[in-house]
Amino acid sequence: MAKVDLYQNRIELLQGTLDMLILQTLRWGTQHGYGISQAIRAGSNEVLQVETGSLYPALHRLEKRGWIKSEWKTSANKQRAKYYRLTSTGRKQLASEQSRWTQLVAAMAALMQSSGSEVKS
Amino acid sequence: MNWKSIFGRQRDDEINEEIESHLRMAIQGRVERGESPDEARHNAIRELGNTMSVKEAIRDVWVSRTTQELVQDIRFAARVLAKSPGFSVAAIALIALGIGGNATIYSMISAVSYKPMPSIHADNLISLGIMRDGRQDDPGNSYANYVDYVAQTKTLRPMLARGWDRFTVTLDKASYGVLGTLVTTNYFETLGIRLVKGRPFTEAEGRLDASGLVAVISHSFWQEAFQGADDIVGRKITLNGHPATIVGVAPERFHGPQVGERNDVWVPLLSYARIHRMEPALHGRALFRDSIGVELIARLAPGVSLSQARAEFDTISKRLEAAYPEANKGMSVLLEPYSAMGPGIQRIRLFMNIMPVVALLALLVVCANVANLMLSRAVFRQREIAVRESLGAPRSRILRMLMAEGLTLSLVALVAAWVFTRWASQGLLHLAAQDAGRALDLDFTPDWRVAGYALTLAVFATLAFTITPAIRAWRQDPLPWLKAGEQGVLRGRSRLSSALVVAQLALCVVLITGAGLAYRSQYLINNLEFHYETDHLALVIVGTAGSATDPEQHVALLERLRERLRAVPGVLAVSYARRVPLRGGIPLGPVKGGAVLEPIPADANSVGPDFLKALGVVPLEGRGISETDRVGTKRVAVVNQNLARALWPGLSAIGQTFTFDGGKDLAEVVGVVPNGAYTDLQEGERRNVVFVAERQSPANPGETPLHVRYAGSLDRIAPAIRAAIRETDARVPVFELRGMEVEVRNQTGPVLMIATLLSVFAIGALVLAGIGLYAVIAFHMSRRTRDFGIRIALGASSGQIIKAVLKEGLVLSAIGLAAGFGLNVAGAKALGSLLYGITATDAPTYLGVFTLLSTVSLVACYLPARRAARIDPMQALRQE
Repeated sequence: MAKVDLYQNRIELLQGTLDMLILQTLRWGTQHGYGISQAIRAGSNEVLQVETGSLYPALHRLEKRGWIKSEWKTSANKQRAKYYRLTSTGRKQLASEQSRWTQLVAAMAALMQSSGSEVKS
Repeated sequence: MNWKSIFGRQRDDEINEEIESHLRMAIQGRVERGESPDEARHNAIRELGNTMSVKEAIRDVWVSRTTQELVQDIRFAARVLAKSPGFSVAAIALIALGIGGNATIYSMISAVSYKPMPSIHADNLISLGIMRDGRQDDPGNSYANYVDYVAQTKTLRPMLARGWDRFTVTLDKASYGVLGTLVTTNYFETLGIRLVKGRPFTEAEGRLDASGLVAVISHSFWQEAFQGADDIVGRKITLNGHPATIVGVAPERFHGPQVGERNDVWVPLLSYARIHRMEPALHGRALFRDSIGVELIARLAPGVSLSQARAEFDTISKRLEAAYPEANKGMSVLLEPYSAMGPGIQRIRLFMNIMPVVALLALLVVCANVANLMLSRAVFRQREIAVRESLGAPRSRILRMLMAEGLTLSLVALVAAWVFTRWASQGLLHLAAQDAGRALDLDFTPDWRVAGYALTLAVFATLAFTITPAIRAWRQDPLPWLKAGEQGVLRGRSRLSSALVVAQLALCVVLITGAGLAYRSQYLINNLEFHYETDHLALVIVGTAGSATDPEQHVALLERLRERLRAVPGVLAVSYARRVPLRGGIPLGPVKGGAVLEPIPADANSVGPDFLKALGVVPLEGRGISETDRVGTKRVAVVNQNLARALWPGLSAIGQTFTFDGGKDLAEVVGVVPNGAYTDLQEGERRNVVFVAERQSPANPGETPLHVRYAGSLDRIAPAIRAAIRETDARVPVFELRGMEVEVRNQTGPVLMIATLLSVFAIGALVLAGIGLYAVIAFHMSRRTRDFGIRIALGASSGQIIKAVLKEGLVLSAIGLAAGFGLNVAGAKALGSLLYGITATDAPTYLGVFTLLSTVSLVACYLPARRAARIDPMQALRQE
């Protein structure tokens, strides 16, 4: 499958991180699904590739939970598209996920370093 | 939510649009980055991947997979059903009637057994019934036991006792005959009733030596007799000639805790003796342990469960049985949650038990029929199902498809059933009210309980009629269906549907036998030899207690009334008696005389002069009780033929004497009457009956039925009768004035009602079973059109063809009938005590049922048979 080739320079998203990334992207204003995927790709220097098959279900899941809201609008180049917007509960959710993420990164870093030093000695 | 969003169409549209817009933007993005439009489109589509599965994944976010499939199934089922409207309407109508019939019966039962009477606070309220020697008995208990229960119980408090009575209430000049209850002083407190005026009784007012008589009256009596006067509390009335003070008014519509109670006055229980002018020695009569006649209701003490109370009362009953072995022999208390039905009359309880079963049987017939309808449809769809299966649809999905069809039918039918139930329950109330001869204070409107019952039935009915087609689909091997046409593989279907028809016929036999037995009882009652005329006889129940104070005055008043009524134009004869005909006799004790050494039991009635003439009995020998039979003359009696033959076989009874009341009294026979239904409808002709003269041994003043034989119509003459009584003595109230035919109907009412309801269900079931049988035979026949065509071509006569088809059908109906009569042996016994004059295995009824069902079967089989005989062989052979 094509995925195998892409594996070198693209990273599969960790479970649960996509939701956070979407919320993060919407922090700066409303955006449609395509825009969100482009923003994530650009923001990660083309490393993170979001599959359409995961993006849209994720968007609808977040909307169902009330963290984001959707609205049909016409884009700058006259395209009709469904725009998503962060709600206030979504904002709170983003904050808590961010702090959890920071903790996770710190913990992972500590673990990787300590196991690394073990190998050295 | 609108219709579209229920089925998720709107959401589907949005999802499509969203994905499309994504694709457009992706292409545009790629073009902007320098790809050629074709390349951009190709790559964007590839990147997007399988749009179907993306959409599916999004849909899954909103609606769970099973709901989606269910909605799909139902949507599909609705489409399929809409395509065959004939089948759908027929099936829905059948199920709706089946469920509706059940729900109607249930709303009646629910109305009388679960809904409390107005104003009663029913939580934790318990009725105390009586078991004697392990069998449920009349709930009448003794006041003495009540006192012991109250003293010993820790689980039931408070507890009330009550006994029914009738009073003559006199206000100024007018008298009213009212129904009332003698109650313990905690009556209103126990039932949780708050009086709208005044106060309940105090404990002091309930003592045997209480100084004055007090009463609580009903709201309607307050309105009618006192025009709702504000100063009602403290007003004086006269109760059976005794001054009494009104202390309270009960809330509107409250007339007692049980169905049918119509009390207007409540007085403390121990006032009984005084109100009825009993001799001072008997004032404590109510306290005797063998004097039964009070019914008990109690409330569970806080925190006590019913089973704890039952355990406690088992102990108390045993203790009381040990202490009073005679009166309380084999007696225990039956505690049941309070219901407006009360411990109830056995016949009504029986009725309540039978009707739901009958309705359920009818529903089973409906289910069998709908199953058959679905089965025959399944045959036409067999090919479709086979194709689905061969394309990889799992069998479970095909089953679900069939279930969804059943469910859709049931859901629509349920709505229709609800409408039907609302309408039919009102009709039933109307019927019941007609039976009772008055408006009933009952609410038959179906409630949530009925809705729950209907829903449960709908679910089971769906299962019942989808299971057979489902089994078919499950077992089906798709291969032959894909290869062959329909002709080859229709066989399996016939066995299942034949079984269903047999079941329908069997259930039908049970229902029709039930209806037949009830109707035959009715017929026998209608044609019963009363030996007197039940028409043109009015029973006028009057109360003498408001004007007469002792037995002499009582009988003198009755004589005055008789004289006055005789002068009313249209009145042919007037008399009076202690008891109304058919309502049992008075206790006279066994009689002894003539050749018989052992005393033999007899029913008695104490009657006034001209009684035989008023009743319309022609004496076989001698005369009836006459005006000359009064105090101071020799005691006389009229006996029926049974008694005359028993005591003086082969001799004339006239002039013979016999003793009664333990040998204390002696009477000379002056007349012999034929064996008629004097005291009892059921076995009146087999009883020994004695009539004695009321004037020779008069009763205390009280309620007395005048017997008036009249010409013309009762409606015409009734006002004249009432006026004549008022003229004679305004203090004499008329409690009731009804024709003897009403009395007969009261005795047979439940039988008639059962017969009516049973026949409604039975006729419905019969029609269905007939159609079912017809459908099966017609189907068999159509399947063999070719076969018959060949036979006819080879020279078979139409008679031979008809015989062949008939044989097939009649074998089925014979099996059904046999199974039905087998069930009958078990089923008809349930009718037992509702039957009159016949047993549950009444031969003429069975013969009738057999004839009826055989005829219906014959017709149902003959119609398709005749069609088979008329098959044109040329056409049949050309058919595939």
